Amino acid sequence: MAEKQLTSWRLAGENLRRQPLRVVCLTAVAAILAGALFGGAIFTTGIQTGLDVLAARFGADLMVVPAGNAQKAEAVLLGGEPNYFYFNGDIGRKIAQVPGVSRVSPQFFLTSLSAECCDLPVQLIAFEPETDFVVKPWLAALPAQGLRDGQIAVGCDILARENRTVKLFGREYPVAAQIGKTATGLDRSVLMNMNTIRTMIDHAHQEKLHFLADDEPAGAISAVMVRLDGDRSPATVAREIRRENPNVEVVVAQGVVRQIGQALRRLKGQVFAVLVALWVVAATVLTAVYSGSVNERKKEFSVLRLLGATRAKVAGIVLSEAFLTALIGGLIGVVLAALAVFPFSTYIGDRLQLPYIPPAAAYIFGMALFSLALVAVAGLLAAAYAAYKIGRAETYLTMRAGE
Amino acid sequence: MLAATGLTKEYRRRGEVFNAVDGVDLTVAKGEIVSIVGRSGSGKSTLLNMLAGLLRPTAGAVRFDGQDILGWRDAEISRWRNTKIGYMPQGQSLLANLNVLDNVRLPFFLARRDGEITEKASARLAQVGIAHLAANFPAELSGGEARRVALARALINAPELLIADEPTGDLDLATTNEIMKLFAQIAGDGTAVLLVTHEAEAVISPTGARIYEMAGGKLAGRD
Repeated sequence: MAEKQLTSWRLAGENLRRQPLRVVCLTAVAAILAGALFGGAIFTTGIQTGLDVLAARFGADLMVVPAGNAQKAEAVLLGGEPNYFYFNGDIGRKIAQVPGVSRVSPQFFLTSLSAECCDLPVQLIAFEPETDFVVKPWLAALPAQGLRDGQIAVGCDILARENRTVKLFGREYPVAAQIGKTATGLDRSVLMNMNTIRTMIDHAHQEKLHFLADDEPAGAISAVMVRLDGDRSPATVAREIRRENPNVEVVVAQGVVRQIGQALRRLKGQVFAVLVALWVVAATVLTAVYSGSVNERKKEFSVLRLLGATRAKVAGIVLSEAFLTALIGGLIGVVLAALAVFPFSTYIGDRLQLPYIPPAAAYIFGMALFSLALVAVAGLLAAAYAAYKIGRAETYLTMRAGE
Repeated sequence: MLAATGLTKEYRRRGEVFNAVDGVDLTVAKGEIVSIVGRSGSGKSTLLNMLAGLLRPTAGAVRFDGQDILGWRDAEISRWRNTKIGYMPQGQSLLANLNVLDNVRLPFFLARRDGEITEKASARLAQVGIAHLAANFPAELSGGEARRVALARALINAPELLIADEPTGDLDLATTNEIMKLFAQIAGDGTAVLLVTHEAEAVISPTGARIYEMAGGKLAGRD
């Protein structure tokens, strides 16, 4: 059997094994550093990904809603907060005539109830298949005819029954498709065509339920999604729509994305500031701990020199210890950050009203490696001064000082 | 084998210069025991450290087999200390985190070399009479046992010169005698032994030792 070598790594390992308190302190600092870096990066990148998806698939350049409901509309769109508001369906035709408008498509919003009649209270969105250009991209997996009458599509956060139906206003509706993660309100919405929602409302009336929309003349809608001609400025057309239709409000998609982008930049700034503060404190603590530890162990290092260890060998042992503690702490930090970020990131994103889509596995893996590498380098740099000091010291003097 | 000429170490204390070691000439031949006795502060440990290449003298030269060791770079002098010199430092010098066997094996791994050492380490422990303590840690040893481990460790690479700095400083008379007998045995096997002891130990220097006395940094032969 090969004998166990006493390499610098093994010496470092034995030293650490017998110094549990020092190891716990050093690994805790490394864990905080790696965890903050990894968790912060994954969370902000997830929001950036969510924002990119939102910007790419927002669908409409403008969203026209009844006056005073712009914020509610954004809440429906981004947060999936169930809401409804209505204006007359004629508005769609008027908007279509505004110069610069290329396509319009109406949508109808309703909310299901937190009562026996419904499985869950969610946003119901009905669209017009003939004119729709917003919902269709999300339903690409469906056959060419799209959602048929009586069928629904559900967001990724909605749990259907075992028989793939969702009960709404006393009836079960078959789920034809589940939409992938969008990090918008669509994740918590149920989509259907206008015929389906009319049937649904009729059923609800039979259940003695009445809606705000019942008071509107026939053909009430909640929003008109607008696509512009390629070269038109959204702000200019929005102004024109408002001028010609004083009872409407216009949500500009770019504005929403820009607003989230600003919130994301603020968040990134805060995360960065916390990271910088943490790293400064940790670098100071690590440098002090390593220097202190080397001072305490002068005699041990002198003995190694007496026995024939070179200065480089002694420095190598100090650096190996630093590297091992940083690596162990870094691993713990990354795992803890993953446990904190992955289950709760969507919730935190919701609370901050920012879209969150988990980054790709390759990015997560790469970021974990990067965090570990950075913490390991920080550990080595913090120990470098101590290693240099003990390497340059006169053995005879440090031996006496260590006694 | 080892020859020091005009070895001097100058220090400053409160602005005043004094010589801790003052123009010492000394030779140690193969298989010889040289014992330097002196009071605390007489300069004997400083001398020993200069002879082992651990402390740079202010003046003078140290030659080993005709080569000036003071001109060597760190890697060369470390290698020399690891292979040619066995060093027993003053006081407790075992690494607390390694067991007795690993403490003895340690010098073998401090320089790049091939081969196996565990068997040799066990044999050295047996030679100094503590083979049964191989798995123990330094904190579990008595002072005499710890010195025997340090001696086994100093001998592990079969050095040509064993340097021992007050090897029996805090041991009882019986244990001191046993250690001295071990030194005599080692010298009998061909390894030169250079001992530094304080005055009280001088009476029990190994048989056949060439004894020097050190006082005020100067070395003088004793009749």
